[in-house]
Parts: sequence; structure tokens; C-alpha cells
Amino acid sequence: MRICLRTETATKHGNSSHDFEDAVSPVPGEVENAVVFRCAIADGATESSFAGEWARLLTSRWCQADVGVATYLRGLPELGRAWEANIDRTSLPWYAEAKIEQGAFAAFLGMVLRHTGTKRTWQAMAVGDSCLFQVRRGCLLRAFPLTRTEQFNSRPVLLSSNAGSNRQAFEQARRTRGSWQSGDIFYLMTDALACWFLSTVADRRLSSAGLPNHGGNFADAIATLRETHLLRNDDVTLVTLEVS
Amino acid sequence: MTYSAEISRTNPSCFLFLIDQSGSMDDPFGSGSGKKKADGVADAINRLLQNLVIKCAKSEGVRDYYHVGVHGYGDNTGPAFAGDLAGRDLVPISEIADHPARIEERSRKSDDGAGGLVDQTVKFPVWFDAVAKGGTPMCQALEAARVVLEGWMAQHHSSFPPIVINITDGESTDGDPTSAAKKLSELSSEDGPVLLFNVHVSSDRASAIEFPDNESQLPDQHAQLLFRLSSILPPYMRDVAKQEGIAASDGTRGFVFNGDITSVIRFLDIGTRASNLR
Repeated sequence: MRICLRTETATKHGNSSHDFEDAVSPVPGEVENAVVFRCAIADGATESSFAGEWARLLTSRWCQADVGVATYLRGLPELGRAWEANIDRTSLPWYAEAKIEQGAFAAFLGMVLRHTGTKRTWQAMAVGDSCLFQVRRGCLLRAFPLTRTEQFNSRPVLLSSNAGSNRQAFEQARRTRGSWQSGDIFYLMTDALACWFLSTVADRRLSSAGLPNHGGNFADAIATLRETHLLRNDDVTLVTLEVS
Repeated sequence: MTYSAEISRTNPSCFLFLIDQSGSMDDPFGSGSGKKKADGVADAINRLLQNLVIKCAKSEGVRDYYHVGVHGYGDNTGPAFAGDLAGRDLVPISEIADHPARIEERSRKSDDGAGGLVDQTVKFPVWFDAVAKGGTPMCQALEAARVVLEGWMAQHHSSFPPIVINITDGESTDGDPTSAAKKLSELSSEDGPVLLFNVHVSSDRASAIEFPDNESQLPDQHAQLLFRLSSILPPYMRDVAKQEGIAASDGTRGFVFNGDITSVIRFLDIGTRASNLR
């Protein structure tokens, strides 16, 4: 199995790049002769503190070892403690302390691609509204976990660094599986871009205009979509996985 | 479209709380723990301020998405912040963050993630103290609010409209508040008129009537008056109310009658949830 991974990002307009709170693992590149390939994106919730750091811990942990979803989720309390330990708490004002106690929150989507013998399979797990799309020859085969733009308006359940706040998230974690063929493209997107993308798909056909990473400048394409109010102003992450 | 302005540091939003500090606020709520109305309301306001500060806190500091004021009316009418902020009308949330009058330590039970509850000591910052003395000069309070907001809106004419939340346990003792309330509600930014909401709290054991959409549901003239003085919920706030399990129609007003402490907290949460925070 050969994987080519590309990542494009754009910070929410009005924020500095240091405020960017999405995360992706692994880093972009190409992998040859893989039997297993793991990839994840996460979207840190703006209102929680050090959310970007939590998002990065979630994605890198997913890629560290080929474990099942249950094992991954069981490891979150320890990851939450690592998040808290990384924060320099010397002379923090009362509100920063309170915010850290509330914990950080993030939407999460992790996937695994496998090629064993003749079997070409994939699995994914999602908590929240970051999405995966499987595309074959310009056609949308699968959208996961959300399939319609209207589903993006509610307050999604998120993964928390606070062990006591994850009950609902664990119960509502979505899982799915499928198979892939050589030439398939998997897109992983955080919610703002995912919602826009679904709005451009008609009868499962992707728009001929293509995604913002098709030629031209990604940042400019995102800026135009934001200015015309087609894309909500938020951090944007687009991961493109070409598998063959 | 009204009530859709984005709330940002250059275009902050504004909350002004008018708190009845009359003698009868010393009585307990009709239902629940027997907590005094004045104490329950003060705790709810302090907790709300804490939550607003935390919501606005980022790694570089507290972002001034909100300016907030608390006015009391009873023996005295006017700004009711304690400590360093005493005498101030509307204060940016970053200054509220840095100047609580004091920080108390309180005990709280929290989920330990393993099916149990554990006692935790938490810091509880206090900006506003309970007072219960005197009559209920509601007209004076509404007029003072109008003056404060007129001044603020002259500097923030494109902001999300200010929200005034009046918490009272009784009838006005300085006349019919209709005219003063009307003048307040007629103030308007480019994004729409000021919203005036009323929360009536009670020592009666009668059930609370929350977010009614017509007068016929209300028991007496006093309730009907406060209902008429309450603004209709804007669309985004109707959505917030529905998310909290409250049926809200086009005619639903920001009003609670015979509320208990839970009603106060829920109302404050719905009334201050941002629609569009940058």
C-alpha cells in the first residue's frame, strides 16, 4: 500500500497563527509498502484553554500504536494528565487556573488504512464534527460521521482532557469501516471546511471547481470563500490521503 | 437582520443587571434549600461573572468581548460592584477578571471519572454582595440604566444590542415602571433595540412560569405588567432556549415569574449565551 499525505491549513481570520487550534498526525509525506497506516485530525474548542495542545496530544497518540478504539479511549485519562502536567502553572491568575481545571476539549477523527494480503480495508472513529470523506473518480462514496450540512449546527460532543467529562463522548463515539481501491482519495477536514465541502456535492458528484488545494494558492482560496460567506470563519484543516 | 452582529474585541457586547435590593429579598426562596433570595441572586451573578471571564480568557489574557454592569436598587440605587470596581457602571470583562472584591474558598462535589464523587475546594471570586434593605424603586433603576446605556451606545453604535436583566421579587414602589422601561427598550444600536428581560423571584411555593408567550398564562396584573415590559426573545436566543429543553415560540418573552434559584441560573445562562463570538 502506498500512501501520499498532504496537509493544508488556514488560521481563523482575525487570529494570529499561534492561536491555531487544529492538529494533524502524522506529518505530510509518502509511505511505500505499508501494511497499516494511521492518521488523525483534531479540532481544539476555542473556549477551552490550551486546546491546540490537547488536539496535538490526541492526534499523535492515535498514530503511536496500532490499537483498537477501546484501548485508545482507555488511554485518555493518562493523556489528560500529561496535558495538565505540560502547563506552566507558576503565578497564574485565578481565571487561568479555573480554565485549566475545566480542561481542554476537542473534536477528533482517527482512521486506519490496512492492506493485508488481498484485503484493502479502512476503519475510522469520530467524536464531534471533524469529518472523513472517501472519494473515487470524482464521486463521494462515504461521508463520516456527518452526511448533511444541517448536522453541523448543534453543539457537538467533544473529547476532554478532564477524565470526569468524557462519559457522553465515549457513549457517542462513532465508528465505521469500509474498503478502498487503488486511486481512492480520503479527505479529512475539520468542521468549517467539511460543512462547506458537503454543500458543494450534488448527487454524490464533487463540484468541478474542486477543493481549494487544487492548483492555485490555498490561503487565497480560503480567504475568498470566507469573504463570500460560503465558509464559516474558523480554523481550517484539509488532509488529503491518496492511497494506491 | 437584527441581533446578528459579531461580538469581538473591537465590537463588544454589553450586559447590565438590575438587582432588587429591597428588604423582602432577605426572605428565602419559596422552594428548595431555604436560601435567601438576596444570597441566591448574588451567588448566581458572581458565578455568571466568573463564567463570562473564563469564557473570554485566552492564553494571552482576557479578551474584552463583554462590558458588564451590576446596579442595585433598594435603599440606594446605582452601581453595585464591591472592591476596586465600586462606583463603576459598565466595566470591560478583563478588568472584572483582575479585580474581584475578594476570592472565597468554597467546597464542591465533582465527578472523579470512576463513578464516584470527590470533594473539591474551588476558588469563588466575589464582585457583588447581597444587600436587602428598603423599598423597590424600579423606575429609578430603569431610568439610571437608560442613561448608562445611552452613553455606552454612543461609543458602540454597531454593537450587538445591550441586554438588561432585571431581577426583582416584588412590585415597584416608585410608580408604574412602564414608561421608564419603554424608554430603555427604545434605545437601539444598528443591530437592533436594547433587550430588557425580567426575572421575578418569589418566596411563594407556586410553580415558576418560565418564558411564557402570552399573558393568559399569568396569575395576576403584576405578572402581566412585567411580561409586557419584557422583550421578545430574538431568534438565536429562542434556539438556545430550545437546546435547554424550553419550548419557545415567536411570541416568547424573556420573562420568568415566581422563579426559584434554578430558574435564575438557567435564565442567566440562556440570556448571556453568545450567538456569534469571534
